[in-house]
This record gives sequence, structure tokens and C-alpha cells, in this order.
Amino acid sequence: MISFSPEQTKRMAAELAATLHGGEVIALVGDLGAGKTTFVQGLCEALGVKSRVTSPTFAILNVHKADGLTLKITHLDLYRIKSAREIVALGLEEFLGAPDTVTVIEWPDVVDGVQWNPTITVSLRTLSSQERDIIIAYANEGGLLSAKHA
Amino acid sequence: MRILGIESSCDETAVAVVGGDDDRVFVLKNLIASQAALHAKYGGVVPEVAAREHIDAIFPLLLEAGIARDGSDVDAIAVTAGPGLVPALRVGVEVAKTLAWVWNKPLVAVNHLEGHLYSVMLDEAGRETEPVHPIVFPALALLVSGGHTEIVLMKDHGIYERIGATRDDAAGEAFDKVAKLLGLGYPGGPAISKTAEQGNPVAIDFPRPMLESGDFDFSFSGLKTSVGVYLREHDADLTLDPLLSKERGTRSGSVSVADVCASFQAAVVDTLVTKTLRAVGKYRPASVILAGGVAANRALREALAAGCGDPAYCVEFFVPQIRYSGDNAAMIAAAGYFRALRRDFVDPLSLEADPNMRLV
Repeated sequence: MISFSPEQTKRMAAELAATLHGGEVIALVGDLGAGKTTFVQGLCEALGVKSRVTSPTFAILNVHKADGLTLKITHLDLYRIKSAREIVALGLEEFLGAPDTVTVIEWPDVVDGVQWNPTITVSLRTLSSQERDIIIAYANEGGLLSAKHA
Repeated sequence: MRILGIESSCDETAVAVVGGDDDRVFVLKNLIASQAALHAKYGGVVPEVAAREHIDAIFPLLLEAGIARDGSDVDAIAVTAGPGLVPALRVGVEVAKTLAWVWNKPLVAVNHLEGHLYSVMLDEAGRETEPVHPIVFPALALLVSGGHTEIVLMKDHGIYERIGATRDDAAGEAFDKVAKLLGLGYPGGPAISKTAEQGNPVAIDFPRPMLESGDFDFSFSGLKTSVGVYLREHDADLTLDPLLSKERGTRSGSVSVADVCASFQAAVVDTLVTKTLRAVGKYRPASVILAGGVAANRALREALAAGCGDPAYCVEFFVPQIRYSGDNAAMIAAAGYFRALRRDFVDPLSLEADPNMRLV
């Protein structure tokens, strides 16, 4: 699907959000400025998060909670990570795949030797200053991801 | 009063001892794991993203700082309780709680951003030069780092109002990511400023995002994208992939990297300074504080200092010494000192790290 604006990218994220139940691990793939954080903003807004969703590049991990819901959105950004050891030190096992958590991972493939097995992979590609090509792929449909991440 | 400060909210593990005397603070010890030669002495390597591994550095730092084993030379303990990365924060918080409990000393929970505000008051004990003087209230603070970009009104010690903040990327993050786009490495904020000195700040007209938004919020994500789009349009082989870009040199064909750096930096500085001065016009503070890692950026320091000196504003300007602008524990101890003066202590048995801790 082609998005022609950040607003449209957010609407696409909202459509995905409507299908989430908790426990999903969503991989976000795309170059700098492709709209990954914008996508997560749309996702969080649609899930009822009222607080501001900003880039987690520096913090590595931001946790957002929807008002009145038990669902948490854990927004992870591995851009700064340089080794699998650093990922282990983050203690992700505490929430990854937990039934009350939707985990979104930006830059999942930045480090070799880590297998994520995401349930959903969102790929964003910059076509021009405003246009983005966005592909949403499910792990259980077509087996594309299992082949890639096996 | 002597305060032991502990900081482990993100990448840095740090321990400091700060003395407080009335409304002044002086640094007695200030140790940062990434800068201390600890591994030769105590073993272990501190990774760049420390998280749980802060635990490997914190006791060697306490030893290195010469803290008495019975805590007899410490009057209170101040620790960063948030915001930050939970597994990282927890290390400092649990160590501070344990020491407070065992030594029976009061414990102060400090917000990391509050620490940065107090960094402008830090100076070593016994310096011959003019001592750094206390913050004049109300102070309007521009907090800029890799993780934060906010304008905060500090009405008095511990009394804050948030005026504005970034809606997406922090200014420091924009610097680091543009550096990556240019093949200057990551984090590359300092490399951008250095390269910018050779460039023309008006060569490329990058956007000044949200300058006319009518509020005091910022947005730097679009500026980063603008630089990326510019580079792609002017240099077809410049990659946007961080995995590949590290192999590139710092010269990229027809585009002068120095001009890109200078023009990008000018856009960031212009946006930060213009919005901060507008907030000064609205809130009429007695002083302006520039703090956080990006406060080390010379162009920003000079532009904001000049703005504060303008007859239209004429406010006192506070900025930390360069060595206290990045994350450190002395600033945590300093903020803790002023909380300790107000007897604003927390229970060592129940304190928990708060990744989303707010100043207000």
C-alpha cells in the first residue's frame, strides 16, 4: 500500500491496531525517516494511548499504556545496539510475547545472531519526500517471515 | 552536607560525591564508568548500552570514589529514579536503597532531567576562579539531549511547569542520526558540530519545523528526513542504510558534507533558540538555563547566550561546564542536595524505578 502522508501512515497503523489482542511482536523495518515512529504513533493512538509517543532511539525502550485498558505497548528501538549481548542485558524476556503486551521493534535486524520470530512485519520504504510503500506481512500467512527469520 | 549521587538511567553508570553549603554545591568526586579505567583494575567491560550490566561497574565506582564502607562520610544518598530504561535504572535504585537501609541514611529520589537542570551549578571544590552561582528563579530551562528536548519553567527548587517538548525525535537524536546519514558514525553529534565549522550554514535551506506552531513544542523527525531526502537527491550513491553507511567516507561527491552539517545545525539551533526566546517573552523568567548533552554544542551555547543578552530579553544565562553537560552523578547529587534540604526523602523499602517519571 502507498501512503502519501504521515497522517495516512497513522491510519494504516490504526487499521492494524484494530486486529491486535496482545502478545503480538511486530517488527518494523525501514530506513531512517521512512516513518517507523510515525507508524507506532498511529498504532498507540488507535489503542487509546493518550501520552505522547516519541522516538525510543535513545531510551531504547518506551512503555505506553492505554487509558482504562490493561494492554501495554512496548516500543523497542535497537538502532543503537551493537551486540547480541547488549540485547540480553535489556531483560526483554520480562515482556516479549506477554499476553498483556504488544511489542513493537524498530531496527530488529541491526544485530546478527538474534532471532525474533515476529508475528507481524511492517516494512516501510521511502519512495519520495511524502510517499511511502508500506507492506504488512503476517507470519502465519505465506510463511514469508519464517523463511526470512529461520 | 555530603551527598552520594548514583546515576544509571541509560548508558552511563556514574557515582559522585557532592558537598552542599547553603545554596551552593561543590563537586568532591565525579566518576563515570565509560571514562574511568575500571576494567583494568576490577575486570569486566562496560558495553555502550549498559542496561543490567551497570551492576558490573557500580561497586568498582564506589570503591574508586573512596566511599567509606560504613557510609560514615555520607549524609544522604541521591539516586536517579527515572525516566530511563528500567533494567538500567533498577541497578542504581536497588544499590541506593540497599546502602540507605544498611547505613541508615536518608534516600532522595531524583528525576534525571532535574539533575540536568542542577548541572549548571556544578563546580569543583576549592577552585580559584569565580565560583558558579546559584540559579536565579524563576528560570526557563531548555533541556536538550539525545533522549529529551523540552522547555521547562523552574519556578523554585523542585517546582516545575512543562512548557513544551518534542513530539517525535529529540534534538540530540537528530544530530546523531544525521551524522549516521553522512557517514560520520553514531553517535555523531560532536562530529557534526566539528564538521559544521568548515561549512556554510546558509548553503541549504533546511526546514525550521514547527516554528509557527503557536506553542512551544518541537519536531525534529521531519528535519532528519529532509536531510536524508536532500542527500539522496544530490548524491545518488549515498546510502540511508546504517549497516552500510559506516563503510563510507565523510566526503560524498558533489555535496559538501560540511555545508550539510552547518545548514542542518543552523536549522536545529535556530528552532531551539527562537522557541526558547519566545517562551522567555511570554513567561518573563529571571534566568535561562541550557542543559543536557546538547548543551555542549558551541553554536547552540553561543546563539542562546547572545539571545539572552539581547536588550529585548536581558535575562541571566546559565549553562553547565562542558564536562557536566552529559550524563553524570554529580548533577543527581546536586539536585538531591536541594531535595534533602527540604527533607524530601523516600522510603528505601518501597522506592521503585519509574521509566516514565515526569518532572511535573
